Amino acid sequence: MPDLMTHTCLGLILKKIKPDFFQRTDRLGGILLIFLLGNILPDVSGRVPIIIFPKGALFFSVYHTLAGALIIAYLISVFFERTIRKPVFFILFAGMTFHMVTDLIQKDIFGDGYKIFYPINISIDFGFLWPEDTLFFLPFLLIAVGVLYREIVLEKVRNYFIRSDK
Amino acid sequence: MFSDKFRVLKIFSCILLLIIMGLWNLNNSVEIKLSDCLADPAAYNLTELKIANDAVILNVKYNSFTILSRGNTIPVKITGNQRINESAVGRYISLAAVYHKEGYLEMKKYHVHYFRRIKMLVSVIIAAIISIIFLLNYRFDFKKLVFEEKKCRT
Repeated sequence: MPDLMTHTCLGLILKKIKPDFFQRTDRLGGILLIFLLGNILPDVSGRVPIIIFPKGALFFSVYHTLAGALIIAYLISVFFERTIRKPVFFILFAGMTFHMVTDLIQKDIFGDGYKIFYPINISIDFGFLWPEDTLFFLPFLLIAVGVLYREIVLEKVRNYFIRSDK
Repeated sequence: MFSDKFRVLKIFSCILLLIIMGLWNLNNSVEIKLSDCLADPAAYNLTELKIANDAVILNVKYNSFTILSRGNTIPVKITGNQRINESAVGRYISLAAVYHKEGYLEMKKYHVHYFRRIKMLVSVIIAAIISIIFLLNYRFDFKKLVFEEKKCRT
């Protein structure tokens, strides 16, 4: 898995590339936030528990698959208000799927690939980078995000200086 | 599917389904684990093992090193002209190795994850930031068991 900051940056860049996807519903405010939450969820549900309980690796690894993502997205969406439940589910699932698709760029020494379609035994990966290699691209991704979101960044900086002047 | 009907039932069904999926994978995996080999060394002699990136290097000698994987400590013999640098101590490693009943592994392929801890730190930071922003935008109503939107910010 690339680091979550890379996933988040890629999610933010996706929003600029496909803005219409994030404007599909007006019933849900904060679509980007829900998408980014979905973007970090596969690692939070399927990788963090393995770091804490290494012996449960096989138990938790199924939560980092499309089938696991579908159930987790539905489970979380049930905790939202009825009117926004459906868009929350779809946006969360889209975020989780985007995370897993970007995970396909990584490689491992076994060459087994990533069983994204569990329980169907199909493995795929493109095997470009080791999981940690994304850290080297992170500064460039952060610059790209900064440039794409320059209006927000500049506004925050301006507000900060105006506040400190007072 | 998205109505309030049987909401509690839906929540418990999802949790149950997730537990069943996890248990199914745990009990039906064909993957041979290091703990299986250590429990019955003779039966798993010369078995090829895949130790994913949860193993940590405890110490490094000239032609061997010791790893800790899922609570099990085992020495690994280095074959051929492969070498592990001493700076790898304390780092995570992925390993393809052959188990020997004498209680050691023979290394075939490896990759030391030198920057895994930095990656974990970076991930924790961004996960915390997103969680904080989420909690600033939504508040949880414990009576209704729902997240309510406070204000649209994004």
